[in-house]
Amino acid sequence: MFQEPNFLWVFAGSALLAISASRVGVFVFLQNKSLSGDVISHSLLPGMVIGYLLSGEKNFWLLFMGGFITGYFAQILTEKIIKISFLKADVAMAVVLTMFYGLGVVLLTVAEKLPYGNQAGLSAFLLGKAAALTNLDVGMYAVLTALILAFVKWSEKALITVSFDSTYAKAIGLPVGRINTLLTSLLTGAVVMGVQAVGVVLISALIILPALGSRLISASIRQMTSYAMAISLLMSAGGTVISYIYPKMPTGPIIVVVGGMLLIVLYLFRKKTNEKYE
Amino acid sequence: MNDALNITNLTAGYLGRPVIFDLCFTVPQGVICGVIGPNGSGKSTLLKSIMGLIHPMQGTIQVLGHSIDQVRSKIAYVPQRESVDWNFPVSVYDVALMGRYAPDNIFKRLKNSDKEATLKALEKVHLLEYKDKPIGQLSGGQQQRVFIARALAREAELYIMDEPFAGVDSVTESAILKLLKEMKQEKKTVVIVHHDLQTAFDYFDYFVMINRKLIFSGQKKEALQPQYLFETYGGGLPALDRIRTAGNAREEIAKS
Ligand SMILES: Nc1ncnc2c1ncn2[C@@H]1O[C@H](COP(=O)(O)OP(=O)(O)OP(=O)(O)O)[C@@H](O)[C@H]1O
Ligand SMILES: [Mg+2]
Repeated sequence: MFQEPNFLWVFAGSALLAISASRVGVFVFLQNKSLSGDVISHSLLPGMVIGYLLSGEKNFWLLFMGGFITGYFAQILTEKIIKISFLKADVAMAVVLTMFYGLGVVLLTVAEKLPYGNQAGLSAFLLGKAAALTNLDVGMYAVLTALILAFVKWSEKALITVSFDSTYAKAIGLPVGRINTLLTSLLTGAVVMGVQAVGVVLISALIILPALGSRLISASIRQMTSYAMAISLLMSAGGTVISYIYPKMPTGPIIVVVGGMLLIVLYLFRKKTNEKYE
Repeated sequence: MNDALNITNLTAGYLGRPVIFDLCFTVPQGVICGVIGPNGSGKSTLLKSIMGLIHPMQGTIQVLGHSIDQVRSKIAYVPQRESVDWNFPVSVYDVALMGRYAPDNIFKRLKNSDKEATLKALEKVHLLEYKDKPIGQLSGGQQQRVFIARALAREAELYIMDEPFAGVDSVTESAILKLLKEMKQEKKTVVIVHHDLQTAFDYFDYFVMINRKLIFSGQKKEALQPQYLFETYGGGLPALDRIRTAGNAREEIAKS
């Protein structure tokens, strides 16, 4: 199968996705915002479908922008609700996530009823279909991955300082609000990018599982970053290969199952000093 | 020379509810100043207001003669140790290096002088040999010293410290004390929240006593009067009783 160009595109696309997701995921995990990926992935659905309805075709950037806007907006809305209301974080997340997701599914049903809707395979958003990745998609993935990696590299000191001690970051005058906005944007970018391949429900696993797995065996952020990348590459490779061999299998769930098995292995080889994360 | 701190009519708190009321005091430059008061009296709130982490509801705060935003590079802040997750995967050196960070270099490469100042600060708190250890593997006292190293690396003029002596053993305590004396010699100003009244009068030469309101601010010799401690702590402290008994005994002896 490695001779088949189609498979190679799928494989390369998933690998790029894995790199982006794990790089951003490390910081999302360290800020204890692991559920934000879920809020964003579920909330991007209405935006993506509207992007599709506007163009009448699967235009990558229109879908991306649509998903980015509603996903990002939902995350900011969640943070605002937590800040100004008496609601706890989990309640606020549950409310926003389900409302946006519900709206998305309604729009999706409408879109599929349209004459041009069916063959677009919009339902692949839900569980993911890596096999649908084309060489064009992979080109876009390469651009997005380069952007995400560049932004993380540029802001890494700031991200680490804010994640470790945001009070101190404010005390030395860092623009903490803008740094958090940047992280949310990077996370939204990675999630929206991955949703076609992995699906709304499980994309956040590709963000968080590598970070969690790497945390079990590393003592520094540099180690975490490289281990997380390795784990997510294994996950996405496992997912694409298996769903290529068994075409009926959706990619997203296989990626997560592979990730789950990796986590068990890593747990057995964990560092004793990281006990807290068990 | 400007005062290190010049605070007028400061009222501050959280969610519209004031915690400290109408504080007015100054702290001159070059002193080691103890901020004394019982739990919940608003000491940390005062420090957070000075650092601009919470906005005053009323009043003004001048730091080294300016508003805090203009002089942040000259101020080092040490928060209470419990305010961070010590399991975070960074090394002792990484945290100390944060002392060098500022808005104008955070998105750039650091200079060699930043690295040198960080290593020097780690040496001063005797943590050089631990520099590559994850902070989670340190004892509580060593963690406190990492925070102090981060402040020292800043090479600031004014140091604002929230309970740097909390939970450290006597060896670390005297090491920190030695650093304070060095800082005083270098004409730096240090403002420290401190809990132990027994040692406060040995460590500091200037005092701010608060209990939601200002009770006293000024030089040590005036601060020693028991009435201020009474007002600050509202009585009921064994240490106070001892100070009072000692005072009474001295008076008795003087009378007889
Ligand atoms: N983030 C916060 N939100 C709301 N109220 C707060 C917050 N932090 C402190 N308070 C309240 O403000 C009051 C003063 O707290 P503060 O931390 O300033 O006291 P403190 O003198 O530093 O006490 P301690 O000796 O225990 O450190 C307390 O009653 C506390 O409940
Ligand atoms: Mg306090």
